[in-house]
Amino acid sequence: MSETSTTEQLFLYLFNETGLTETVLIQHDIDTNLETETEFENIKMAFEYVDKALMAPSPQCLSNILRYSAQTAHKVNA
Amino acid sequence: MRYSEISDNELITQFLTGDESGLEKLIIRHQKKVFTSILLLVKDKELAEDIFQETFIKVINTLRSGNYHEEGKFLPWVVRIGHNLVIDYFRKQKRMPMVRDTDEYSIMDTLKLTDDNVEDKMIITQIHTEIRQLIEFLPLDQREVVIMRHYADMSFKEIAETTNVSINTSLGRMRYALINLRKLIKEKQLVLAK
Repeated sequence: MSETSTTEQLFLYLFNETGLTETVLIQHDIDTNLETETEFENIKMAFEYVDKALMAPSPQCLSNILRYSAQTAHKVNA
Repeated sequence: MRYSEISDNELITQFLTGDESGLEKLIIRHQKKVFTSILLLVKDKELAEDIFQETFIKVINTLRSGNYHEEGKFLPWVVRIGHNLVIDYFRKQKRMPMVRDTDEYSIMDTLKLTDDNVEDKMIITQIHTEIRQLIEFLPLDQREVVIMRHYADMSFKEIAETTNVSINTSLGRMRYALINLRKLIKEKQLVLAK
């Protein structure tokens, strides 16, 4: 009888950090065990929320960085 | 070749051969993940922007000095630089954010203490801002692992090495981070817009 995958194992599986054998076992567990499937879906949903938190800095930041790069480029080339 | 098909290493090479647009494209490609990683640690937009700029100044100087050896791992490298600058900042302020002794502390206790603040902030309707605030409520060690794995694409092994803990501890922190996030999302009844 196969063991139920732990949450930690599901993290490793989600992020492709499991070896071949473990990947197959966990995939089988997800496919055949409702509890594991539910937990896996909950994990994926939580990360969908984390994705939504992304924010860009103000455009001035990029301008400042590029200005620094341009101003110091001549020192490298000198 | 389309911009999306050009690898980070190719853009770096472009930049080092004098084409500044290579640097611009690199920053545009990764700015959200790098900036959000810093913002979630310092919780202050202006400070995060200062550190973001410092981060890329270090990136520029390191690339030009020929000391960049992270082929294929540009984003994790940049996020690590930003993370180290945040730690330096906290040290200078003599203000290291409290790291919980146990991951099992109650996130709901924190929520109650700052409930008035959260209620004010919840006037803002943008769900992205609300979610970011929820992540900011996480203890630093849990926030770090979420940032490093999900935004910086660092492996749990790399996260463990960067934060000086075991892989099992990193995985455990991620588990508690998600438990706490789910509690907060449910408490605040946040629903992702389709």
